[in-house]
Amino acid sequence: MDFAKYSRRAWAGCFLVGFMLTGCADRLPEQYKSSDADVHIYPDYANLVIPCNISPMNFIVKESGKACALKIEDEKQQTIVATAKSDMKISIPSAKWQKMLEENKGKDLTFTVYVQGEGGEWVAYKSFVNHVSQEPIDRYLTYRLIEPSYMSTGIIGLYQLDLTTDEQTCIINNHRMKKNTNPSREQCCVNCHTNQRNKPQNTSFYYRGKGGGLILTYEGKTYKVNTKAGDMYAGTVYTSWHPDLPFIAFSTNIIRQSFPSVGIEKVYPYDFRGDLVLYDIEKNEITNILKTWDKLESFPYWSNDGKMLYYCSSDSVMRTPADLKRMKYDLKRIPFDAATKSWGEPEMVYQASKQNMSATQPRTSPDGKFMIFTLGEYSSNAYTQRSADLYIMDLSNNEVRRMDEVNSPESDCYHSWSSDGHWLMFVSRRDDINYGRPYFTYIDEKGVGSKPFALPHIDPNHDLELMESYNAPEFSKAPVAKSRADYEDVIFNSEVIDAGFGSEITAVDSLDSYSGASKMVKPY
Amino acid sequence: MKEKFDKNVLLVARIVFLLFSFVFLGICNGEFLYKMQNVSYFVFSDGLKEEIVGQSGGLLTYLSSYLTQYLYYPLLGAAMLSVLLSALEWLVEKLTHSPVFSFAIAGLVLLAQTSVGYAIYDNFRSPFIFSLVLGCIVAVLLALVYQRFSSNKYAAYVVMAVASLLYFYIGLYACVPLVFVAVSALMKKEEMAVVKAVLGVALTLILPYIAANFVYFEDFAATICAPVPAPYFLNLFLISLTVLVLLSLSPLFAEKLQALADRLSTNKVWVSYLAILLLCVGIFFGSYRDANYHTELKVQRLAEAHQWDELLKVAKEVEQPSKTIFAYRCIALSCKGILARSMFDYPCTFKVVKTNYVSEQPRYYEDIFLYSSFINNAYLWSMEFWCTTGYSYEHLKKMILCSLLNDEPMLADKYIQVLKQSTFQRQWALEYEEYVKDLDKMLKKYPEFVEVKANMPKECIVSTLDPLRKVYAQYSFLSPKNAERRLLADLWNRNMAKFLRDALPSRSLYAHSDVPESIKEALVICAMKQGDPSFLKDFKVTQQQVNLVQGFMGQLKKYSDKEEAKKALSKYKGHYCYFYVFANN
Repeated sequence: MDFAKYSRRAWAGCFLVGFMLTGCADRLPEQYKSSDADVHIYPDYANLVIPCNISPMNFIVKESGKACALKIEDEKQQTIVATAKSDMKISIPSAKWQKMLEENKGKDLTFTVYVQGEGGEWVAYKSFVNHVSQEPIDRYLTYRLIEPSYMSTGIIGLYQLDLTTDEQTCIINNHRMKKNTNPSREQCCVNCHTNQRNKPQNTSFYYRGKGGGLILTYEGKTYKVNTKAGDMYAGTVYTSWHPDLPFIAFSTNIIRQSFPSVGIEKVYPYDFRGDLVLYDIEKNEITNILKTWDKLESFPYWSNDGKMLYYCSSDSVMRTPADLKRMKYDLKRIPFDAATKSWGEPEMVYQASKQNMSATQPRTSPDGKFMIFTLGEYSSNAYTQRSADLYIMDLSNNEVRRMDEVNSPESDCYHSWSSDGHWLMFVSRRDDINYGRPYFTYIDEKGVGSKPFALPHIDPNHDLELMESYNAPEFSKAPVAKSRADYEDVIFNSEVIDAGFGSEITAVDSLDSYSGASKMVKPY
Repeated sequence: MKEKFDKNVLLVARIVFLLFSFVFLGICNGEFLYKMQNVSYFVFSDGLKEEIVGQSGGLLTYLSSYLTQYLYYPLLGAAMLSVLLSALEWLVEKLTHSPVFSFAIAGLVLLAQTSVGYAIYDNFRSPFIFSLVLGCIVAVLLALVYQRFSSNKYAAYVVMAVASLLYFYIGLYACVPLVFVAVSALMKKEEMAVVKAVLGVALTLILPYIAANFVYFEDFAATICAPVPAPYFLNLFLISLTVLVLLSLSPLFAEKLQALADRLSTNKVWVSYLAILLLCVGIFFGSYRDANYHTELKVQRLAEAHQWDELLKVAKEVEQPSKTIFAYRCIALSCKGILARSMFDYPCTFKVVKTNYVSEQPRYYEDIFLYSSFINNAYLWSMEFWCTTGYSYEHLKKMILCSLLNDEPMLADKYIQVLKQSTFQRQWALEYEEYVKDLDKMLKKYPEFVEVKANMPKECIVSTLDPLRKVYAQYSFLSPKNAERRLLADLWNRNMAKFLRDALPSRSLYAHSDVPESIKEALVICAMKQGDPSFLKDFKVTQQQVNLVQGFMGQLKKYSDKEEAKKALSKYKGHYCYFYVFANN
């Protein structure tokens, strides 16, 4: 055997591979002009506080040019370089990015973007600085993807995203259910994935449709519950798990939609009825929390210690769709005694109706210091209202402040606190007024948010091209415990368990509704 | 056998088939091909690729979706399809040595492609037109590989392994070589023939089960058929299934079939030519040929291209229109500003085609709402179809139009950026991208949109589900144009009481403009009914017009038979009084 020949080939091969590796490595331009101008990038990832475990914050450089480069530099002058050709999409190497974030917790990173003009000359734009937080963000985000305004049900799915890798997995979608029911187009939908704050493996979501119900995963078991019990006029809708105990507070609503012919807001969802109930998981029993005939209640949310249930309540009810803009919700709370499973007297927390506004979606911070809610012009549904903004209440003195540092001229709502209370995620329609996108902000000790940033994706165009809205997203510390196959097995093959009803039946109407928030029924 | 079938005859037959399929697809089905492309959706996006490839038969669907874009130019698309069909025929002939069989298969595929019918409107996201022919080609190629190497004892297993892997990329088509190997092994009494046969059949049954339950989480029926349209599209499904079954079982009968054909046509070349002629005729008459179908597709294309004159010309040639053709004619008349003059000069009993397809009826909703200035309702319907019948260029373009007219440049830009990632629709996107920053430019180029913007109603919640009859009735009396549309809706419904109620308060709106003839005639009818002509002068109704209606009504009394009267009074066609009595039927 001619070893010399093989050895030469091996060296040549190594040289070639080495040349290719070095030749392909991202390099910064050696000669460039400096500019004082701010660089335009999408999404806007400049001057932020960023989580120390977030996936690479790739972006598109919105300057005209035929190539671009990015240098990220830490205080020790260690750098990451990423380049892009004419598509101007900067893709930051994931492993290097994670390492740099890990090594720079609590420190600043300097980002410099270089753009090569059509003539071949390079320009270095003014650098911007992002601060890496000490605190990681909760690793998972669960949400529903749904087109923004239509009447029937298309393909709808619940998804889970790993914020550290941008890997999305489908928890469940209605694909199989839709195909089963085509062409009759029977409505079937999945929505409202939530989990227990301190035991994230306990989760729930709804499957709405034939044989539907609440798909509950509790203590490792998954089953299907019909939560419309006793004299309830509808199934349960908005969900809040007690932080520690086996209780879930629900609103029970009849929800309808109107479609205005003019204006930028294209759909008005509203509640025709709304009350609150408590579900005791271990007893499989529903009891009334608040059953009122002259008020509408919705959006329950437990305080961090589980001793108080916050909710929103209107003092009038809908009689016709024309009443919609007269519907103003206040924030209230009601004390809960877990030992006796009894409720105290409702207390007013924030009387938005006095300002002719409507406050909804109260959510207290995990440390119990703050409560953030949404304030819009009317009704309980803020996500289609351009006026909807986030407000923060200091619970030590009940002072309320509009969060101008995070709000936009468009709808900002559906917020969710991370488990340590340092990160707030909310859905904003600021990009195009119609499609909701998750935004994140760091909340400091005083309850002030940092400049919000959009959900990072490997492909920075991802959300621009996505034709669906992120709906009701929630943080989660742990991944969904069950597989899609497990959930489908429960949906298709298991019998629904009817919840018992532990309150006195006082029904004065006999409405035909089932476990579905959008079932069209005439309540009056 | 092949020798017996004269090579020249085969060549001629192939040329005839190639030319026929090109002409039949490109000329006779040009509108259908364009529409097929317009209701499809392909953009170069990682998200879309992931979504499509993540379905059963996804890779084939993705490739076919890409190719479907070429139907934007129907002749180019037809050329591509004809070449693929000829390639399929050639491969099948190589496989079976039976030209009769190969032409039958290619003919059936062509028939399936042109049998879509009204399914094109409904849930037709599958780029079936390309995936069927491409899937068959891949399946036949695998079967050919097996046949070529069948002397090798591992050939059957290798082909079955490859086909099984391919199942996850091309779906049902991968089952063809599996069954083909099984049947061939039994026929040829190969070594381990029974094992091969059992393996082939077992894989054919097991693979869809695995795919449906463990890979794609789809409905079993949908997975087993993918990417062939599910049984819901029955005619397509049955023809496609026949093709696949025939290909799979071809070792059983293809040679016998050819032998029979050879016996029948020994030394008679004309029999062969006759056969190919019969095949072409059979395809022509077997394809979907509802009288209004291609016209419907054409008026939609013309409306999209703002070619209103051409649209009116095409609609005029229709004997009995469908609701869709009528609706698009109304849109064109409205855009030309002659709705009131010509609305009632058209048959109004619509031809109804019974189909299984849910969306057939409301297909024109988004356009009639759009051109009636109900922008949000148009957007709502576009979004509704987008969600329920699948993403399509057609709806995306409509949503761009709505966003622009509704002064939502950011939303329009989002959609335009997406559309720009397509191959041919990109041109449309580039044109409309200019209008995001300069809406006036669009209004200047398409003056009908000036009217649309000017007549947008104020706060109004529309709940109607049948805009054709009711949309105009939603207008308030804010402008003469709105009032007129409302009156026309009343007249269309022949609801004279409501018309009079609506007309009386609108008289002042016509102070500075002419009252349309149809409205004047209707007012005369009302006056005759009430015996009170006092309001006629407010609408500048002339004695001549009164005489015309009175004359018509007077003559009408002479006839006891309605059909006879209709015939005799046909000179009044186009007048509202004629429409009122006979509804132009």
